[in-house]
Amino acid sequence: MTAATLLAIWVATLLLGSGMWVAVAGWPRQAADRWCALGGGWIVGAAACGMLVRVLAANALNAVPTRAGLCAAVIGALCWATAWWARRSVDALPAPVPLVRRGDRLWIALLLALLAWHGWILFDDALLHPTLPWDAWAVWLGKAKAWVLAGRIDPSVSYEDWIGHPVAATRTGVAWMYPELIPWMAVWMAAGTHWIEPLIGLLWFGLGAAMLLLHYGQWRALGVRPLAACAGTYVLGSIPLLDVHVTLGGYADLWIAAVLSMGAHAWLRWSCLGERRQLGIVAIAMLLLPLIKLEGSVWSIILGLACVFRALPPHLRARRFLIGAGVLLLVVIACIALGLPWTGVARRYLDTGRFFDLGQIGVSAASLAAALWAQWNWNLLWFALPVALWWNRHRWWRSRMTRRLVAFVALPFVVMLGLFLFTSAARYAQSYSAVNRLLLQITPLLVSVLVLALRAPDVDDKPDATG
Amino acid sequence: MTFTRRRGAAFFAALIVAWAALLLLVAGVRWDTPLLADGQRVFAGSRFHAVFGTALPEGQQLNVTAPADDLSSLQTTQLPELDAARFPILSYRFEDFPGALELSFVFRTADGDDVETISVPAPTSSRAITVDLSAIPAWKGKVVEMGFAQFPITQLAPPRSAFRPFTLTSVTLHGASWTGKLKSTFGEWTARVPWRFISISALGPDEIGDVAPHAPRLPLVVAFALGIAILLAWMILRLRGRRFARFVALAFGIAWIALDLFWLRDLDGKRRVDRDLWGAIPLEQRQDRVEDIDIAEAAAHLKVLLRREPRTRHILLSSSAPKTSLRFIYHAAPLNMSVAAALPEALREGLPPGTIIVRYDMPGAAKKGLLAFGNRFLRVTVLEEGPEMSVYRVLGVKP
Repeated sequence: MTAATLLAIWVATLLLGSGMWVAVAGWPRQAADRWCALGGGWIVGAAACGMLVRVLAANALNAVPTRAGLCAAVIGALCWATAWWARRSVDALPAPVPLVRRGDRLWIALLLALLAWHGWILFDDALLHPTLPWDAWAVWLGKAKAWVLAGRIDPSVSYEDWIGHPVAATRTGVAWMYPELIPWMAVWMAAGTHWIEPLIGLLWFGLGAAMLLLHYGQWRALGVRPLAACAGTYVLGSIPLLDVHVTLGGYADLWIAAVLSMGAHAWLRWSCLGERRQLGIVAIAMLLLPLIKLEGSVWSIILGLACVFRALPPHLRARRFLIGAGVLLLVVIACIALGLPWTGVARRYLDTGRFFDLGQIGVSAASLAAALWAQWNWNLLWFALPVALWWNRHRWWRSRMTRRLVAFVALPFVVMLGLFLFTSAARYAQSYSAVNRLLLQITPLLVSVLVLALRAPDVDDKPDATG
Repeated sequence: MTFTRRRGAAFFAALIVAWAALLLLVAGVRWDTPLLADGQRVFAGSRFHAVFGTALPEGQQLNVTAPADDLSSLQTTQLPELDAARFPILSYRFEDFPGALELSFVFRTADGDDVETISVPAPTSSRAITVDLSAIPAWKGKVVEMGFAQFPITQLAPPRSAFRPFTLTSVTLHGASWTGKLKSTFGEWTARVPWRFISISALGPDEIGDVAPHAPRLPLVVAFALGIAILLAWMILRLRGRRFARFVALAFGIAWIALDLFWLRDLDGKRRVDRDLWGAIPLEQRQDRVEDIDIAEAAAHLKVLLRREPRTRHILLSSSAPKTSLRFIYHAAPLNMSVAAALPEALREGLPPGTIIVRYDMPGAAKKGLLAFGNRFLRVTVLEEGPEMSVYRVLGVKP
């Protein structure tokens, strides 16, 4: 592999993703939207390039750079052209841009320097080591490595199907039923190579950097001042467990976190600022989430429900919760009837719904408390968040935007707490394993709650038509 | 002095006292612990001798030059029945200690049968490292032997390339003291902690189920310190409203950055270990230098053995442990391989002819061309049979 091929892959990723972003969300007139197009575009681009690999080059992976790469570049360029052509008729008047105060520049420079320090260490370390964490080689990258070295993508089937059809071009494994978007993306990043693990690991470094840019842009678009948005970006980028997932690439949780937050912030911009084109970003997030990990289906349903909830006409508002619960029930029944894999995972977590006795709850609660407050995982996030929400309760409660984001995060968080305290899933809390990774999936949203809850008092939400 | 200044001075005085008390509490200092140690026993490195591996004394030091066959090394010395309770603080100095090795302190007491082993921070420089042994339940009675063991970092280091020669300079056992306990706590907070499997899920316990006593993690201690500062600001400085909010925000900001600097130091330490392990080899070869190099080599050998098989050929693997199987399959890619499991109902008559069966880290099992599989006997040809790995091709099922 040459450096030029590597560069071409990263440029094609960005070109396709940012093109799709501006085609969906509109021409980026403001700086905030350009940051969103850059960060969100890279995330969408990596996923879209992975899909192109599956569609265009599954039977000849040596043709990935030419087929998928060229196609990505062409589609990306066309998307940019479309967005430019449609820019006048689409864009609304630009919102006033808060200026950077003179005293803030020093703080911003300090925070950027600290972020750069993080970035350098994470980048260097990601390039040093091969694939290390367990599920990375056992689940997510195992398929991709076999495909790349075999030169083609074979379908994954159950052990029974595989062993029963000895001449079929199929494979099996512990994660045969898992979504394959991450392995497709890994194949894309391996284009032109014979599987070089540190280069594949850079996919997660790119994701981490893109997620920070996206959040800075989204917070600025939501009216957060530059210093506060920078501080939020630094807080997000300095959370130790998030850093770990960036440098020890190979797990799906950071992808879920990034895409869920991307969808939730777009939902916020649509529901609070009336930016209808953000619904397109919500739709992309809803499409991607189930393709990343089985739990992604649950997050996708929650995003969809949030949209339905906001879209209901005013005269139905009193019945929103009833309607929301009804829709949720119907969706879950449909998923169970269709045998979607995530329902199996949910059943495994719940393990027939057995509840623990009080003694077990005590052990689980202690482990959960240790995970949140007594380890290195989160810096001071779980101290700062309750303090900020309590301290500023009157102000953020008046902000429709913050209230909605808190509601969006609070319900799944409470469900997670219930899961890890009262069901057999408590074993994941007691072993410090899945509990932290599941919490990582909502961590960008928790940081966003912190940023929005601490917004300056003179910044308020724009009125919107839906109330 | 104005009233405001007096309150400011009182605030800082109270803060220093409260934080110092917190630090002493966290370090496990009791009211009757002396400020300085009232005695110590110094052991030169040359007093130790190699139990495993090769080590030669040079002046007052011990040069450890090679590991044993299992790639670990151990150096010990006999002690004249040293009273453990009187000397609970251990400090040690090494020079050129390799970044890819873990370090354990081992000791034996007069009334204990087994050698006790505890994991201690590996040195990253020639500075002394201090460890408080008073919380170790086995550190009691008369200690008759002590030493240090080194081995490649678990779950990370390629064992054959982990060792480099190093020097044991000196070991000291001190009496309990404030300074010893504080040094030990600080040493634990700044210890080098390389990546492990659990790192992707939790940063804190060295491993799941780790029951060794630890000082409280720094984020929790900083949070308590922050709470104290906020309380004192409210009580003594009498900050209220926006001024109090600004103080709290600033305190949180400074505490966050302080913790982040500690985390960056830790992260950089992990990176240095990785650089030590993989930095000198080209990018595309780093994945070949893994902690389970034996499995990787066996998988590479299998790929060569089966290079003429069609790519759809099914290969079933049996091995000694689930992790071994998963790692073998990963290393053996792109072979079309799966862990051997019970056959489905449709194949109750046995495996299709041509299927390859691999047994790794298990003894060969075919006898007279027959291999037990599930509750059937398969007729097989032996492609290879060895102490590490055996490979068979299924010919059919014994009627």
